[in-house]
Amino acid sequence: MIVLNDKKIPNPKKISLLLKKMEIKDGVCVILNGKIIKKDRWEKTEIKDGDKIEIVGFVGGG
Amino acid sequence: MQKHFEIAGKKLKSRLFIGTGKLPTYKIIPQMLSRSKAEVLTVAVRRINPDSKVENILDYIPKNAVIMVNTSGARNAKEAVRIAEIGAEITKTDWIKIEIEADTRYLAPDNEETVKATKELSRKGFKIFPYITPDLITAKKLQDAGAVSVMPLGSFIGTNKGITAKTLIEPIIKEIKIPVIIDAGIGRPSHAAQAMEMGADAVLVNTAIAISKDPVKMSEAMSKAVESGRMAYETGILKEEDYAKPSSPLTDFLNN
Amino acid sequence: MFSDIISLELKKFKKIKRDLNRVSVSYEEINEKSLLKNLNSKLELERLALKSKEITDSFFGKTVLLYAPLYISNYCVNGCAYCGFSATNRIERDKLEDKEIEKEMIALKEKGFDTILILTGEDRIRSGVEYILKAIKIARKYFSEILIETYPLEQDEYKKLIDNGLCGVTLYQETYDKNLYFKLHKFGPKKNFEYRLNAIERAVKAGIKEVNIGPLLGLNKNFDFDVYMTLMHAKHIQNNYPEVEVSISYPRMRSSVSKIKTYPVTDIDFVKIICLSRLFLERVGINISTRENAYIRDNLIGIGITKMSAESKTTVGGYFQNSSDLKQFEIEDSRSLNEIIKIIEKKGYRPEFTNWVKI
Repeated sequence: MIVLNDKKIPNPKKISLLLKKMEIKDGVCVILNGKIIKKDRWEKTEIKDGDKIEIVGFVGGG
Repeated sequence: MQKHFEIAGKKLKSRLFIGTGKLPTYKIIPQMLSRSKAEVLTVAVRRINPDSKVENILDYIPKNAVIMVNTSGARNAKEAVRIAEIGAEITKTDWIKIEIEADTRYLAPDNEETVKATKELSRKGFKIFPYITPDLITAKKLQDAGAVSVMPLGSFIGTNKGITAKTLIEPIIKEIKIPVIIDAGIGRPSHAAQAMEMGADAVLVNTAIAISKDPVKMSEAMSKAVESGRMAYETGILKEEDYAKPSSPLTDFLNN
Repeated sequence: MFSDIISLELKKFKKIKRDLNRVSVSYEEINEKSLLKNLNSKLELERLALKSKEITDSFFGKTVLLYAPLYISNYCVNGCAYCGFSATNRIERDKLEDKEIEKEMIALKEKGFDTILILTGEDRIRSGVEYILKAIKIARKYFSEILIETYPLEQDEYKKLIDNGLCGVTLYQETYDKNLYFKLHKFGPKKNFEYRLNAIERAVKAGIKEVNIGPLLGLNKNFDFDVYMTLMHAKHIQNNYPEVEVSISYPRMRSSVSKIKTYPVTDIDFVKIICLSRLFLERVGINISTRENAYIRDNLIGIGITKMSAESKTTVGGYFQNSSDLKQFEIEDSRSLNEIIKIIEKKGYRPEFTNWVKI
């Protein structure tokens, strides 16, 4: 299990797989255990049990 | 009128920047940009949830638009730096608007924290547009800290009161060498024109456009006001006189 | 604390009320005097509503926040004369266990909610702080924002909940009139007027991000008093803790579950109250629940409200398993979330499901 945006979910193992499941191609920032993971590492980076991920994007703002 | 103005390494035609907060829908963004010819949009940063019913704003922002990441939500410099780094990663933009507030009543920006965040982020290579309560000393500190612009508020966010901070902004325009962009408080096109007549390099308008009955039309109106205000400034604004000036001065008779 | 200054506010209220004929009605910036004058005068409603709309749109944007309430326990030791959960009512008492709570939350999540309000009656044994904490931990798996509407807690109890994900506290004073309050709360811990009054500030001191307060309209013959005091309470919190988001609710008594004489507030007065609240405290959130019918709720979108509940059930649970117990109050608007979303969009507003940046 891992924590995604504060919620517990089964471990998706890879960031690219998680984003695929969320139907996200790009336009987000992925933060793994507090560190920003650049897009070119989404495919390679493995997610371990207990990891914390945040998926962050843009919304309207001044 | 000059064709382009340069800011933070980019050449822009439009001196109207548009904020995307408070919009009733993101669908109108493409029309707003094409009608107003604005090129710069601000966005905020927030978590995206997997089952969200919310539309993704990036789907509506044209690829050639310049995105400026707003750090709103940050209550101190540390949070602003974090939001900036995260936001910058999303579309590889390096334009950051620093907005740091801890007061829900006025949304007054924290000038001190803004200077701190500007120092750190400028060092890291970001192009910083700090949003501040107009204060010449803070503006100087931001210039020294490497900001590419200063953004003094015209009036508090959402108040639509126009450039009530005029007397505090004028010294900033006069003394500060980096571009001055008046942000917040512009409620009508005449306010935007006034900002440009004062010598501001650009304006940022959000609330007045977002909540108007026709945001697309209002963005166009704002754009026209910005153009006319800038044109007047470049031509030379007449000074306001306290008394009527007759066409023949009173003492002209002495010359006869 | 607000309890320290409430008697001063009462004196001020009485003084203004005495000299009300010297005050004029106002549609622009209003202060305590014009607020009371407006509450007691016939007003040009359209003009008032337009002003309220302008201010709400300007400060909150064209958005409405949607949230879902979930009752997890209706055990209650208080004897509030006006409430369906009163200890004196012989109703089926129910309390959801962990697995049931989770099922209900999943059902709400699937509907599309991202903000949840967890409610309990007052019973420190059957629905104690540990029970509430557990519910918050479960909610954290599914929702970005978690609020509670329970009995007043101690500051350290609020801190514990906040450390585990609690974002907001809702607590209604019911009435700010001490004498009336004592009459309505004859037994149980709720009897303590001041303890309840200061709970919101205890939550704030513990670090809560948002609070929601309000009276129960219909209890007090003089609704202007309760509206006035609610606004003073909100102002007090905003001024002393400017980083906290304050919202107000004005639930109106409806059902005949109460054994007491009620003084229903008319629709016109209700709209007046919402608009005047907006004019008096420009940046306070205004919340409307499903106690109000669809017609009223729809027409208040864009006039002053900033958040609404949807798909409410005031029985325990009820989203996953249908329960037909006695309700805390009658729901008047039983439309689905999708229907509410359509109405909001039709009115030219955008539904939002969460508030806070949590980076």
